[in-house]
Amino acid sequence: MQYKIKLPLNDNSIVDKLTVGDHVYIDGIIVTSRDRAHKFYYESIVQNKNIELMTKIKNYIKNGAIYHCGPIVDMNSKKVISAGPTTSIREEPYEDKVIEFFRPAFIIGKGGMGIKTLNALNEFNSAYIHFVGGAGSYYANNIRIIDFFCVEFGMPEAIWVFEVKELFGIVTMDNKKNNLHEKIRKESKKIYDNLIY
Amino acid sequence: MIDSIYDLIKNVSTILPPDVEKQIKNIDGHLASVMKDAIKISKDNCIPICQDTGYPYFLVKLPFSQTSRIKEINLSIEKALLMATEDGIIRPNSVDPIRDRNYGNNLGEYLPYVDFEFQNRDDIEINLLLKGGGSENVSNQYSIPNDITSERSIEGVKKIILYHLTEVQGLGCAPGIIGVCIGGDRALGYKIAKKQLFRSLDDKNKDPIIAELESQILEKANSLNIGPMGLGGSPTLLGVKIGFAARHPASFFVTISYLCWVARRGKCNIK
Repeated sequence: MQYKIKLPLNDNSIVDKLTVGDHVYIDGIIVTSRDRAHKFYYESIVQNKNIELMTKIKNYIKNGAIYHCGPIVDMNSKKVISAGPTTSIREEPYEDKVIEFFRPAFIIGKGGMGIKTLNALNEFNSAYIHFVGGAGSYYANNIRIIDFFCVEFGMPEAIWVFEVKELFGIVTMDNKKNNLHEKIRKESKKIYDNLIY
Repeated sequence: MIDSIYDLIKNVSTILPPDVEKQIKNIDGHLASVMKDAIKISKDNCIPICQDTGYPYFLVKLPFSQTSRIKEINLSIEKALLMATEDGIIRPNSVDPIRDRNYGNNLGEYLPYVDFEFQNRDDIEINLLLKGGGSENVSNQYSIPNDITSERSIEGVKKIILYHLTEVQGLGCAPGIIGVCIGGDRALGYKIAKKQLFRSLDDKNKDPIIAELESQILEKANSLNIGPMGLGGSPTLLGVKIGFAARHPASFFVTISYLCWVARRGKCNIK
C-alpha cells in the first residue's frame, strides 16, 4: 500500500494501518536527532533536567517524527544542502526511552533498529520508516529549516526542525512487532549456510 | 594546486564516477529511482549526493624527483578542505574524541589524512576517496581460524567475506563495493583493503586467481537476496576488489573495507 502522511498527525489511527513494506510520502514537521541529541535526550529524561528545552523540542516531535539525519546546512542562510538518513542502530541504547518521552508517530532512519525499539514502537503506537541512504540531495530538495536547537553539538549533530514535502520512505518496522530487516536477515543467513563454493 | 584540489573535492562529492553511475542506472525499482534522482539533482546543481561526505582520504602518487613538494601538497589539501567545508561541499566531519567537540573544518589531530606513494612517473596524481562513516563502521578484519572457518585458504576467504556481508546487511547503504586485503599485518590489511576502492568497477584483476575470486564472490553475494538498502532483492554488491600482502606464518588476516553505493572517488593530476 501507499500512504500520504501529514505530520504532526491529528489522528494516530494511520499508524495502525501501516504494515512493513508500505510506501509512504511524508509532509510536515520532522526533527533531526542523531548521536549527541539522543545522548542528550536520554540524560535529560533519566535525570529529569533541561525541562524547558525538552518541552520545546517535544512540541515539535509529539505525533510527528524523529529523523536520524546529520545534514549539510548553509549556516548563514540556514538552507539545507544535503540531508539523507544516517544509520539508526546507533541510537538503539536510547530510543525506547526517547519514544516514551516524546511520543513520536514515527522514527525515520536507515538500516532498522533492535528489539528494544521494536517493543517501544508497539507499546507507544509508532512505526519506523526507512529512507533511502545516500540520497541526500534528493531529500534536501524538499526540506526547509523552521527552527533549531543545540547548534553547539556541531552541524551534523544539531537538532534541526524541518518542514518537508513528499519525502519517500518504506515502513520496515510497524507497531505490530513486524521487522522487515529481521526477516531478510534470517532468509539471507539461510542462503549463506547453504552456499556451495 | 589549491584550486585543483578544491575542484577535485567538489567533483567527487557531487558527481558519481561513470562506472558506478552506469551500474546504478541498471537497477530497477523505487529505491533505485530515488538513487538516480539524487545522482541527477547533485550533478545538475553541484550539490553533495550524500550529506555524509566521509573522512576524506587522499592518496598522492608522486615521482621521486618531487619529494620536496610534500609540504606544499599537504598545505594545499588543508586549505582546499577548509574552503570546501566553508562552501557546503563537504560536511564538517572531524570530531575531537576527547573533548567531544566538532572541529568544524574537517581538520584536527592527524588530519588531513594523506598517504604518499613514490613512483616512476612525471606528474603528481592526487586521488580522493570520500567514504562515509556508516560504511567505515561496517568494515572489519577477521583472523583465521575463527568460529566462521578454520580454512587458511581461498575457500576460507570466501566464507569470511560472504559471512561479513550477511552480518552487516542493511547498514552500509547497499549495493556497495568491497575492497579486500588477504594477508598483511592488521594495519597494512586495512590500508590495502581501502586502497582497492580506488579501482574502477570495470577493471579486471591482473592476477588470474584473484580475478576469479572477485567474480565468484560478486556472484555469490548477489544471490543472498540482501539487495539495495538491505531491503531484499538484488544487487547486494556492485563490485569486489581484492588485493593481497605477504603474511606472517602465524597470521592470516582477511580485511574488508566497505564502500556504499555513493562510491565517491576521483583524481586530479598536477604538473
